[in-house]
Amino acid sequence: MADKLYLIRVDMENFIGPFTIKELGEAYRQSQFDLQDEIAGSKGEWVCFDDFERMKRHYPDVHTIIKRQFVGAWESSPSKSMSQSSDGKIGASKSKKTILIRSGYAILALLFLGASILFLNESFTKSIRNAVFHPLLHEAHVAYNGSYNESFAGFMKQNISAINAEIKQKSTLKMWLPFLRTVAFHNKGVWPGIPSRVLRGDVPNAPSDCSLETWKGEWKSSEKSWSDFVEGQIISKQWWARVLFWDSDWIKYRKTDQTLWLSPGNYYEACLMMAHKSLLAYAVTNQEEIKANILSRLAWQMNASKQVSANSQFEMYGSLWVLSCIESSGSSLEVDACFQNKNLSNFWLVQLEKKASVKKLNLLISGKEQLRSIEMEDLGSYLADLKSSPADGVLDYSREIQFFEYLQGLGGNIKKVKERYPEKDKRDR
Amino acid sequence: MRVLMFGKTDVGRHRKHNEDSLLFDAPSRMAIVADGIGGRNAGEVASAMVVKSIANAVINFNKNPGSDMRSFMRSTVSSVNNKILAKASSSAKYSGMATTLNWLMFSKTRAYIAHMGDSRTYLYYKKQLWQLTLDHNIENYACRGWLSDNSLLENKNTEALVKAIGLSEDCDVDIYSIGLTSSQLFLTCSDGVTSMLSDSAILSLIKANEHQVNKLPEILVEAANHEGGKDNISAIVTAVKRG
Repeated sequence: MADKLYLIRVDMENFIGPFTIKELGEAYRQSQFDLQDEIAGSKGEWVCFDDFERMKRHYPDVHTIIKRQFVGAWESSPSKSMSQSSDGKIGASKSKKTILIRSGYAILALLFLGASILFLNESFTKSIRNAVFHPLLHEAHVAYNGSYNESFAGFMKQNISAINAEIKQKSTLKMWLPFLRTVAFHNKGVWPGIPSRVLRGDVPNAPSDCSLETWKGEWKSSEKSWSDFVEGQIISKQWWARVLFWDSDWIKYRKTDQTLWLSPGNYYEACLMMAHKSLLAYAVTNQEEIKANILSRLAWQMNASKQVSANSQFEMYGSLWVLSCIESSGSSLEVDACFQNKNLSNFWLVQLEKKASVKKLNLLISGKEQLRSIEMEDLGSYLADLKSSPADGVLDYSREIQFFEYLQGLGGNIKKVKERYPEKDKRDR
Repeated sequence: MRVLMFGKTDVGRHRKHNEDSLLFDAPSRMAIVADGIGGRNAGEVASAMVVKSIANAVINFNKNPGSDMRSFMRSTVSSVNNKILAKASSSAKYSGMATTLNWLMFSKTRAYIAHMGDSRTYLYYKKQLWQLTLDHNIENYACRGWLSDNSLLENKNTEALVKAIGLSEDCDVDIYSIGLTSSQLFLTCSDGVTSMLSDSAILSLIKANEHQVNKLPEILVEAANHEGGKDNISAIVTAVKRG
């Protein structure tokens, strides 16, 4: 019997494949597609890669690959993920080899992490090493001096050719990447000669290109939908709308893969910055009020993601006000009050209820080490609410679900969960 | 890659007129299916106009290709849309005329599909089948949240089209592309085929007849008629061959 094949639709317009399941993994490694792209099997529905719920239902074998490979860093141990595999052959015959390969990757990852920490800690050792082996990089480091500034921007601009010659080597590119990203996203979201996917890095649930130009097109193509969107009548799956749903907690659950960022601190912040900057410059005819509303929401999101305390009197209205209201709530009662008596479509209500459930879960564990039995009941209830809503490709909560399911399995021992997911410590910082 | 094309259109068993128009021309590497929208005036005029206008544009483009394929297809569809709107406003008998469009162009290495409405293009490869185009109807749009949920309540006919040539000045055509590989087969058809035959049935028919691609359009039309033939039926099959 012929292998099952999958076709992928990239950016809603280019098809690649058909691929076997093995070729699919290889295509992802080669960055031929991203998690926001779609896949279909023979006679099957098109499903977004980041819509884990539908993926599991329609294409369980692809779902397994995604869990194992795409979000592997977040996932459980190799043995667990293999036991969940629907493809018994791979799990059984390749387990030893896979463990060896994974061990190798783990060592490399540790080495790389160590190198990154050294680099980002501005250690004396690193400065000496760069001064000797990478004098240009050392100069950039000195010019940067802890934050983006005109002198640093000027230095980078003057040395574009020399920097581009240096970054031809992959290892050197990684050392330069924090500076390249900083310059790019303080300007037009591009660095000459570097593909947007390199600037982006391996980030789930985010646009493949957040340059100013791309955002300009995004706002232009969506302008007619803004009004219905902010009135809470329609949902769009275009990135402009999905980005407006982001919040600081959601970003923290995802930025664990984000190393080598200075300012902005991660790709999500970069996208928010570019979306805001682009909309600010975008000329509208009759929609000034709506534009101002969206700009307020983006500014709120940027402040929240930088942990700048957002003004509780946010200057928004309609659906965007409700989103910010949920995010700023300090209790589950406040969360519920945010969208009571609001004239919103069912599409919006589904999205807001998901956001509300996640907010309540985050509030539940905030500042605690162990949940009491009554709080465990709340955990079960909020989690059930969250899981009962179908994933629809607007905002993915699969990581939150994994985290809270794990907490549930450990009887509410938050301290232990954070040992298991050390990156989550950032949530309380 | 070279392409072989075969096509067939039929009025079906219920309609008096065939409002579908189709054109396929392997040397020009183009295939077009347009389905004049039922319930409106002069659907057949709209579909024929679209096919003729595009064919002329392709002839000019092949003589003097001035832009990339995507831009060419986008601007052509936009210009054809304007023509249809102008014709529709010129006389009461053409008022409101509109048509779907599935237009395929093949370069040496890629296929491009311009799509509006609910005519479809499928890819058949290694005994498997994929629907490449998304039907632009209310149900699909509402399910994706691109229309308010009231749209489903307000419209009894959820298969009513959201996009088609002649419906609006805002002509937002979908343009897809896919790399060509030997033994791919593209099926472009009107909803007279897909409303009568499930994807499984279409796949079975192609699998059973891939050795006689030239007869496939006729086989699909016959099968759709056998299942009721409630609408006009059109199908073009394009086989991709090495060389």
